[in-house]
Amino acid sequence: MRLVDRLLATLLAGALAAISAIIAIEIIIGYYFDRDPWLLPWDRWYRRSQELTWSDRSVVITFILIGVAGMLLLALQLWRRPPLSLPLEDTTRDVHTDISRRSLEQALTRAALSVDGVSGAHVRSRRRRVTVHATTQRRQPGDLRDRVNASTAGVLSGLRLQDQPRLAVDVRSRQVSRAEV
Amino acid sequence: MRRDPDRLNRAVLIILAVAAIAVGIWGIGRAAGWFGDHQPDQPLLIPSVADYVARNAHWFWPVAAAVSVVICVLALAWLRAQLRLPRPASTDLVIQAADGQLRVQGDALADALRDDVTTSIESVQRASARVAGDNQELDVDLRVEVEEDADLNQVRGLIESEVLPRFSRAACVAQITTYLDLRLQPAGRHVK
Repeated sequence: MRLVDRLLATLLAGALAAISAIIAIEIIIGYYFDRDPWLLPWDRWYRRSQELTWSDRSVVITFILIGVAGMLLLALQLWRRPPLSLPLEDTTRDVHTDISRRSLEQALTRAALSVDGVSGAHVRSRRRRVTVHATTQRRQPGDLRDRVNASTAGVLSGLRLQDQPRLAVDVRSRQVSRAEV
Repeated sequence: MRRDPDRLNRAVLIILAVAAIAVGIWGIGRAAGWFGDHQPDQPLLIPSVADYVARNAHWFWPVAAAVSVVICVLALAWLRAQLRLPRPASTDLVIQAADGQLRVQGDALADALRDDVTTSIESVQRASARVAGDNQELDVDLRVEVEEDADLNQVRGLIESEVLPRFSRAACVAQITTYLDLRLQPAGRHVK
């Protein structure tokens, strides 16, 4: 998502800079030097804007497209994205420590996998919530959820994140097919 | 100490999105007659607007050109933010002595810190550092990648209690603020 924003921002900033510079030059050569348009055919646009009405199909479609593009862009920006890194509690005044989100997920995945009976684990962390998805080959997980919870909670509290996220653990039994048996 | 343009991008893109929605609704509203029954059949550039611009051309066009220049400058600043490196380059440190001054290259200081971290802490796989400031106040940006099974708290403790004090003494800096970025080595990658 950040990469999309970065690309969009680069394209929009470049386009905005180029267009506004061209407009300024067009105004200067058109108004002060009374010369013909340089790059933008504004005299043609001027005549066309006097012919077109607000209810013309092409005008309405243009405004709909502008509005829809704005809504899509707004939705993209308001979409909550997970943080790149999470701050840890400061243990000294002059050192501020962050841990990358991927490293946090990796540490918790290892903690989940260290529990006997867990065959796979996947962790997703958001700003205020960490979810551990563990899988087991056992048909009855028993107290596995509690043990995974204890193991991952220990790692999570040991890291001393500034804003301790809520931990959710989900253990699923892997369905073993007859062919595998 | 990072200077990603993500927040700036988000803020500017939200402003542009809201502006686009407002323009879209306004255009559709005019076409649908929300602002008066006669408006859908009016030309895009109504004569009163053209007359107003013609009457006030002596200030309108200079102002329009000035606004375009301001937008251009802001857009270039926004573009520049995309092209900057996420971390600032190290700055040299000038230490005043009785008979002159000593200039220490920022890159050399950063390299020394990086080497100290990687050699003195076993589980550190790689590190990178940047320093910026002067001999009174120095900002250190330290990124440390440790082995997957390392004890992060122990690594952090060693950096805070041993490496950074050693660096502070060697650099002769009164106040050092460190931004430490801890990362676990991605699974399956082994360097050192």
